[in-house]
Amino acid sequence: MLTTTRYILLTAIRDRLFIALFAAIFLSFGISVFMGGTAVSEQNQMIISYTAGSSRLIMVIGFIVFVCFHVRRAFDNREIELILSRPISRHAFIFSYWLGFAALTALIVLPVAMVIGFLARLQISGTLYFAASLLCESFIIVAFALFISLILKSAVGAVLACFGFYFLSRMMGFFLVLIENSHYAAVSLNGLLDKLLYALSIFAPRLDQFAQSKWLVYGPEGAHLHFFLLQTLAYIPFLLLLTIADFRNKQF
Amino acid sequence: MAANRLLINLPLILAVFLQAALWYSSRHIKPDLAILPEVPGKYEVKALALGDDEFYFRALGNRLQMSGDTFGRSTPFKDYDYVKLAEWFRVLDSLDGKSNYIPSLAAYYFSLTQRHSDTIYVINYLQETAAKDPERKWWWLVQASIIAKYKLGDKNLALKIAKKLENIPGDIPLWARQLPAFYLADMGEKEQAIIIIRDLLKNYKNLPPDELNFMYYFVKDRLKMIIPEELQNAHREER
Repeated sequence: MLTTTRYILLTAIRDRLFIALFAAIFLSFGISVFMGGTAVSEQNQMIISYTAGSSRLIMVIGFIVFVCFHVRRAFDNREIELILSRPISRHAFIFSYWLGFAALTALIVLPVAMVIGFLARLQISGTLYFAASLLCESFIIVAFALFISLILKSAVGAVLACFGFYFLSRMMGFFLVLIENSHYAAVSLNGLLDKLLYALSIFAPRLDQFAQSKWLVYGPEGAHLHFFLLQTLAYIPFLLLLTIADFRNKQF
Repeated sequence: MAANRLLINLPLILAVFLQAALWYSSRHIKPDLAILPEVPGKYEVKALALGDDEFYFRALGNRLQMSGDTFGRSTPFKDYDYVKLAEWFRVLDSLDGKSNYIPSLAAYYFSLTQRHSDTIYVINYLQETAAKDPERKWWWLVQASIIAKYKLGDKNLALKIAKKLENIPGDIPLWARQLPAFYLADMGEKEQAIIIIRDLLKNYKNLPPDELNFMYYFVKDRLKMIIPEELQNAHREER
């Protein structure tokens, strides 16, 4: 299991994921400092929000692209068949793959969170909440990217599906408000869409509750640590079990 | 060979002419670079914030600050649509009501318009934002009253806003509560100004010596009125 995890980390180094992501985040940090410096007031808060928000987006995009293309290439190069030829069960393979991706995200998220924490050093608890929830969010994202890239044959399709999932999960709170405020009759098309969206919301994680940059500015007021820990603990096994169920039926 | 070349070159020349004709007909179609972008709805900004309201608030706030001065333009404030601007302020407040960024943008930046009548929109917004959390945002009432007095030139409005400061709960500086007295003195309503000073003396015990001194000399030198007895006593005790 640890060998597979090490293999994932080595492929990340081979693909220059660390260099690419850290360079992009460093660039976004520079732009954030520049943009924040132009604000009429609250320049520090501006820099913190820009850095946190842009870093989160860069990391999520980076993780999705890496996982989807890595898995697809592993299929194309028959690396997966090679790994499975060793005495490793399919569920152990899935778990070790996710563990490798999770370790990879931790290696990137934690140093970035430390830099953000230095900027927002007046809000220590807010920074801890932000870092913990960002890590949980990344774990969920790589689990979903692994799941979808093992199902879909196209890496591009998997990437697009992951973006759809991410944006949907980040907007789920908003959709629930819309459904609640809906005044359409239940039989109309909008009523059906409401029901469809409501059903979808059962299976989508509430990522809109994760990694909010306001915690870095005002402290973790209104944040629920237990919620995003529970959401992560509930959603990752759900995704991994789905992945295992699909992967067990795969013919090589 | 020549026929082959003609077969390629003729459609190429036709394509170039077609492109040139299209350019001719579309050369006046330009992007609408409005000074202020269209105001999004409150739901729209919530959806587009993707759960991180603060990040989107800062991004939109910065965009609003830069609006009119983008794409190589430099737009005087008199050309801005202040009705639209005030709507922008309100939408951004719905994303982050705690921040002082938008009120400071309104009070220190957009209030500098050459068309002084437009400042009423800034004043109204500042009053609204201060009313949501007066203990923390009383400063914006002070700014609103100053803009009303010196930019809009409406002393009665300035006084009306300043009077709101008198009854704000919490620990706000005494000079802010005395602001109506200063305005009344300026308007020649000295008796009214004295009433405010007396009210403050009645409601606030153990005033610091500097505040008492200020009140004493304000009545003596600025208002040139007889010092109220309670002020005289308090001033004497402090000395």
